[in-house]
Amino acid sequence: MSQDALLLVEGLKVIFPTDAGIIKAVEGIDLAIHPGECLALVGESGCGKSVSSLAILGLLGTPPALVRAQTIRFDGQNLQALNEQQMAQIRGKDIAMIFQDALTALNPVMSIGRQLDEVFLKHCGMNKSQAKEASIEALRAVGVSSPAQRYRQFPHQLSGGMRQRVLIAMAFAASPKLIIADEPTTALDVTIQMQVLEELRAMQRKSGTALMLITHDLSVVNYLADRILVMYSGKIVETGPVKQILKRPAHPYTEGLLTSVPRLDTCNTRFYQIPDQVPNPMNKPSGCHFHPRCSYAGELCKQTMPSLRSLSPQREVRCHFPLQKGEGGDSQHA
Amino acid sequence: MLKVENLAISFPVKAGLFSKRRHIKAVRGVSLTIQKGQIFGLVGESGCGKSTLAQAVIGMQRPTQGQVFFKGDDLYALSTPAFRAARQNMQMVFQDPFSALNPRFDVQRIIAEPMHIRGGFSGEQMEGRVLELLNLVGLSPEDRHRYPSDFSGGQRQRIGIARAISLHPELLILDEPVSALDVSVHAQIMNLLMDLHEELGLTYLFISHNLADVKDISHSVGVMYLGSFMEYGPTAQVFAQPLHPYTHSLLAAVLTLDQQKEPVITRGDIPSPIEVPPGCSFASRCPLAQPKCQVETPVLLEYRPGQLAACHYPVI
Repeated sequence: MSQDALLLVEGLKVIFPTDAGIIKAVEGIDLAIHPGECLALVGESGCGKSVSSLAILGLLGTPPALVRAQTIRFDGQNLQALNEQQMAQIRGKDIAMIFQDALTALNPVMSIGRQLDEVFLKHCGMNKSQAKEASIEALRAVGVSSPAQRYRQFPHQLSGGMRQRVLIAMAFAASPKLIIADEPTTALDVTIQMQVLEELRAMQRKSGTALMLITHDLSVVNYLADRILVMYSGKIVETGPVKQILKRPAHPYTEGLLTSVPRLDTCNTRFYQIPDQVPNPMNKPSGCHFHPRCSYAGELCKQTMPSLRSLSPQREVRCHFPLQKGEGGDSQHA
Repeated sequence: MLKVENLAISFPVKAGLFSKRRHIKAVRGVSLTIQKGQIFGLVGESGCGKSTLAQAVIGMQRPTQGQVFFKGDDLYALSTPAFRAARQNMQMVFQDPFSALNPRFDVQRIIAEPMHIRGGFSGEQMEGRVLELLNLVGLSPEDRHRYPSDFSGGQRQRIGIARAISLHPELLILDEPVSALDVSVHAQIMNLLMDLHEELGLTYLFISHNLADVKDISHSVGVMYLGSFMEYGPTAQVFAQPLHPYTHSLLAAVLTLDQQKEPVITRGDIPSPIEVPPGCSFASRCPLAQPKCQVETPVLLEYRPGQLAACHYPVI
């Protein structure tokens, strides 16, 4: 499966040495994204999901970070072997990013038109008038009203939803092969979030671009993603197709996340809570990092970190006592 | 406990030299009542005026029009000492636990700050009360000598809550208290708030943009859009049988884990509060809008017992 992957990452580790100790932000993760696929990286703040994506793109400052990986291969190229200039060429052209906070991601003193033009001028070899035309078309494609006027406006003149659309237009502008979207709709209101997600899904399906979605919101994952990768404290704890995992999670943490989501369709007088806190990255618990918060944990969990084991051809879980047995029930283990 | 009558708040906006001075109409004629011991959920999208309303309720923002009655007294007509006394009886918990706590104060000082300001407490009394509060919000006694930077978001929110209840207030205004928190911590803080409500007999004004937060805990709910209530009524009823198309849109836009249900998308952007359109403010985005909606502003009418909606064509 890794042969035809668009992006293949193996054994990615990110460490931040600090005066107070060593922060192991990412402790060896493997991931593969195939062309046209939407992979969701899910986890709470500090689990290493954003750091992983920045490390893959070479956007982490080294120092302070130490990035190590066996493989980071994108579209046949070894990204670790590229110099800064070559990386810059790939970012923006072949891999684009959509950030959470559109107001800080956009340049406040440049009209959005000029910022969009830049992508076409730099990566698509267009001249100025072609770029302008393409920019206006790109704005129209993501549902920005009166795009010719918006083209001349500045980020502060647009609403949050409009700004996020501009970022989406910008990300798709150079027809990249992969887009990394880091919490693309977290800062938006519900009704606006839906509009933006729909736009993002339509654009992705139309263009066949692969999407790496980074989020903590499982309902967004349900709407957008094909495959899911759940991270906890720097490690992947569960991975597999969205539909299967949301229906029958195998890792107790995934189950906890799913039950924590406040729901409209049920009536509960009490909110389900995972006890305690996400562990301090400088002082992670022994054994399975999740064991102090896990209601199923046994003696084994305190001592040894479980390995990521295969549940079925498509699913993997890092747990000594997974909540789901492999496909076909117990017979497989017999 | 709290009664707000026909409250309106507007802010002047800087305009060009020759243009007419304009106003942002943040709150436009809101009335609400909260009984003692009740939880009122205030829902709406950003910019709808819910936080401005909260500021007016707590005495931080003098309304342009209308009154706020706290335990029967008109808050903005009180003498300064009486106002301060009333003000101690209502406290606020903020959304962002990172900016709400002074990074240079230790937890002891943060939680004792309201007692310092009020005065009349000995050092021992304050220390005792801080320990009691830490226990109440689920922090350990040793935490009192640590600084905000040592704590995670959820723990900081606990400190903020401890500070808010330190003077035994009767009314707590919770401005998006869980919106900035992680999923697993979110539930912890919600449960803590529920426990405190029960144990201390508090009254809450709970502000949120997330309908699911409000649904299970509040007794009544007000849905705000562009500065006024679109719908108002008992929570169970509003959620089960919403009257206003906007409430329907909000509910339909909530993404779920349900794999069959496709969310419904409401088109259009929220209009600017500077140029509030005539007629119904939701008309520009409403799927059910008729010509009348663009001209005539609907008033809140009681379509079902206790359940009011400002709509010409409510969903009955």
